[in-house]
Amino acid sequence: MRNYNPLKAPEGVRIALMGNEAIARGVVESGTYVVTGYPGTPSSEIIMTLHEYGSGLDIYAEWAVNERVAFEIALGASLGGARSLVTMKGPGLNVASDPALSAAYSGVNGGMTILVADDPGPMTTQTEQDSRWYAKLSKLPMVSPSSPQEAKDFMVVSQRLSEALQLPVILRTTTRVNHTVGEVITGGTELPRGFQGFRADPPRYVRAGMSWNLERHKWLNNQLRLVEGLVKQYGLNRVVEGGNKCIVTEGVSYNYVMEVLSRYRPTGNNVKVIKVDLLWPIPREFLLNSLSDCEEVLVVEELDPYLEESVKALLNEQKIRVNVYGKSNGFLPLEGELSALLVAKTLSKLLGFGVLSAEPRLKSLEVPSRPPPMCPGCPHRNSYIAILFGIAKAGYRREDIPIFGDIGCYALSVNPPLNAIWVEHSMGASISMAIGFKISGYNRPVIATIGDSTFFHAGLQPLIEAVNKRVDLLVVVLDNSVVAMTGHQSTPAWETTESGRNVKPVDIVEIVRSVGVENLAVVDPFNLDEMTTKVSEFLKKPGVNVLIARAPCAILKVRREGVKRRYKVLSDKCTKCLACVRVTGCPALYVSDEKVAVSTEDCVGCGLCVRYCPYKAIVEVEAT
Amino acid sequence: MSESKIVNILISSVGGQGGLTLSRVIAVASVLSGYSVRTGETLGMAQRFGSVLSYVRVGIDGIVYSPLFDEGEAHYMVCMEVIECARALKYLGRDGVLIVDDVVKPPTSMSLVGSGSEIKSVLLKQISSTIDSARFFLVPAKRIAIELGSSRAANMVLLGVLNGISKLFSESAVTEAVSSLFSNSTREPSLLAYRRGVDYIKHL
Ligand code: SF4
Ligand code: SF4
Repeated sequence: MRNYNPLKAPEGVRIALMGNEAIARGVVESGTYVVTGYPGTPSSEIIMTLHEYGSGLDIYAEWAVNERVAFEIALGASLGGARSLVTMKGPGLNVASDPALSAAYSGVNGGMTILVADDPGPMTTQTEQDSRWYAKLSKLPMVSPSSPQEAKDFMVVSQRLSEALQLPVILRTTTRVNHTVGEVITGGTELPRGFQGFRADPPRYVRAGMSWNLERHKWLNNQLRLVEGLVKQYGLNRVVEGGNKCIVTEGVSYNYVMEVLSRYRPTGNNVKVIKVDLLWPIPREFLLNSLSDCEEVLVVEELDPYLEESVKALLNEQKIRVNVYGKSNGFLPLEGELSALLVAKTLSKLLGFGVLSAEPRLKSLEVPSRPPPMCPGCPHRNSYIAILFGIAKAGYRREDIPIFGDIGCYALSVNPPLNAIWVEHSMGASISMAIGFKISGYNRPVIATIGDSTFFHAGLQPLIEAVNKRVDLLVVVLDNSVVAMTGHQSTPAWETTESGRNVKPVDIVEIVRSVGVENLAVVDPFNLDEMTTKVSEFLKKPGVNVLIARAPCAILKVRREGVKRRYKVLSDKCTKCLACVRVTGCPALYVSDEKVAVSTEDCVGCGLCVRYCPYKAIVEVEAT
Repeated sequence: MSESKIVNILISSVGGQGGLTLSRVIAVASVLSGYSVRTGETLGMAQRFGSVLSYVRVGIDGIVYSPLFDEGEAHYMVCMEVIECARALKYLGRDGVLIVDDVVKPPTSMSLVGSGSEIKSVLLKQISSTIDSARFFLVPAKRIAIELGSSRAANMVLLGVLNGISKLFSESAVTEAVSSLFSNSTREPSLLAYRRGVDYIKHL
């Protein structure tokens, strides 16, 4: 409980908000009614904040089954005049890209914002995708905030812009904006705007007629001409400080530039910072005006040289000859996130001042790495142990049976000691890639492992493909009944969502059965022997075999039920053979005083390690 | 306090120990004190047990821009675990103050090769030999928290130690920040843990 609720705080107060919380506040300030999305770091806390603090606000805030569905829900809502927001991480926009491109032609009525969060680094994402290109590709306007304050403000601007243009607007953030906490001054709120009315207009809303589409494309291009003027009214795009050494920047990179300048004040005050808030369409007038007296230009941005190319094209077109420095000529890296130090080093090359950081006096000490493991008591650990044992039981060597993984906590099974999955790619790809591997002529069994929420998101269609093409396959659905990795969000199997809505649960077992798989079984991964037997049995059966390994996520289980028992190691019996650690890799087990010990506060009492101690040294203790 | 008008604090922890909550409390206390603040986190997946670094930048005077700072720039470093402390040591500045909880959580990569908690004394010896003792504080924060009956409040003990040394925030700012972030059931134990941290440093 907080003193102030970030969503209900009055206008004009200064509060500490994370970027994503600030965007949630922006939802309330902009009168947005329909908010949906699919969980994905670093975007998830927007909807989670609405769940946590939004009761009684009359905002529809629900997770959707995937980003494409979420996008279309937001689009449908805005056609009827409601204001909507759809949130996703960068790769989510790949999933939603199909409707995104068409949405630019039909446009919207109520304001619609598409929040897409990229992840330079990358810290939690499969690629360093630069979603700014999507604005150019889809022809949808894009704005880019640099701080929690702007994240909130731009959410409001984006809705106004969207309504004025009748186009969805992309609000593009990066991890260091989404997950940064900073001071935010609240603005006034508006009542959520739901359905207003709808008039059929086939040329606008039906994409089947060829000639209509050409007309709509012309309309779209016309609308884009209005964008720069509108964002100027809303106060976007700014020039900071005067001078003729110019830095063009946007988003979080602006902070690194300002950090360096505020600490160094290089060569007096002759550096001009041109902060581009509208990333598409490129604000030509603003850029030409502010670049007109520049002698040299440095473009500071993360990921691809997106702004740099735009600036160069603009200067070229106007036959303005100044040097432009950035990523293409090696002044800044093409990969990874930026930092004040990197920007300082680049600026010092161009402006000739010393670099920012004092040489560190201390060196870090060499210590073993700490990759995130599966949690103590995680059912996925049991499932992969059963799969590996099942392979052996069926008479195969584990190096002969490929295991395709998918996106979720269970991908951590790639780490020692399990070393289980061979491939992990993109949402739902485990089953499709396993099909491809098999039909290419692989003559031994192939296994695909996929989580429940990933199955709902993108696993069903590949399963239909496998059944339809009669591919011999074992699919293990790791069903822990939650979207765990992104912070434990609801799945379509829940009876009540986070917002308290009673919904109709959808059962994976029924879905799989209805598709017509050859063999289907539901097992409890904590019943290891049964699951191992089923794996070995199904590996040998032709056709599509689906094993649903069902047990709740350990974190959720502890949250709901508490810890009922724990284990400890009797140190006089432990021989430090390490069998318990080497089979399970449970992070609650560690070595102390030449014996293995259990970290009491971390053990959740799953009992897995007990099975593998040959000396019966691991015993139950009362949980306190 | 250092002459810089921006105070950089690095919190290193193992996921699940409460490092992120600590950084959040500092951020809220900063805003309540009228300071500018930015935090940056290597906040990855929901999992616990990974390495977590939280950067907190408190602007006593003027705006903080960057949510991150670089190696050698931390004025204060708060470590909730010794191995993670050793890993992050390069961030500590020349005159930086190091506060370390006397806790080790060996990662699975160590357990798998049969090594473990003996690393604690080795690392602590190495750390203390590189830092002048006037700015090195080894604090049994976890133990104090357990004594108070709330083992999860080690982060608040450390907050007390940090504020006892740095005097960044008034008691009322911390009290209000803690009160606004914790639920009814954890508010009092957290404040108690905080005060024990302050006392610990007073009586050192
Ligand atoms: S019982 Fe063993 S495997 Fe299960 S959580 Fe406790 S230590 Fe880990
Ligand atoms: S399996 Fe048993 S004897 Fe071997 S290290 Fe683990 S607790 Fe000790």
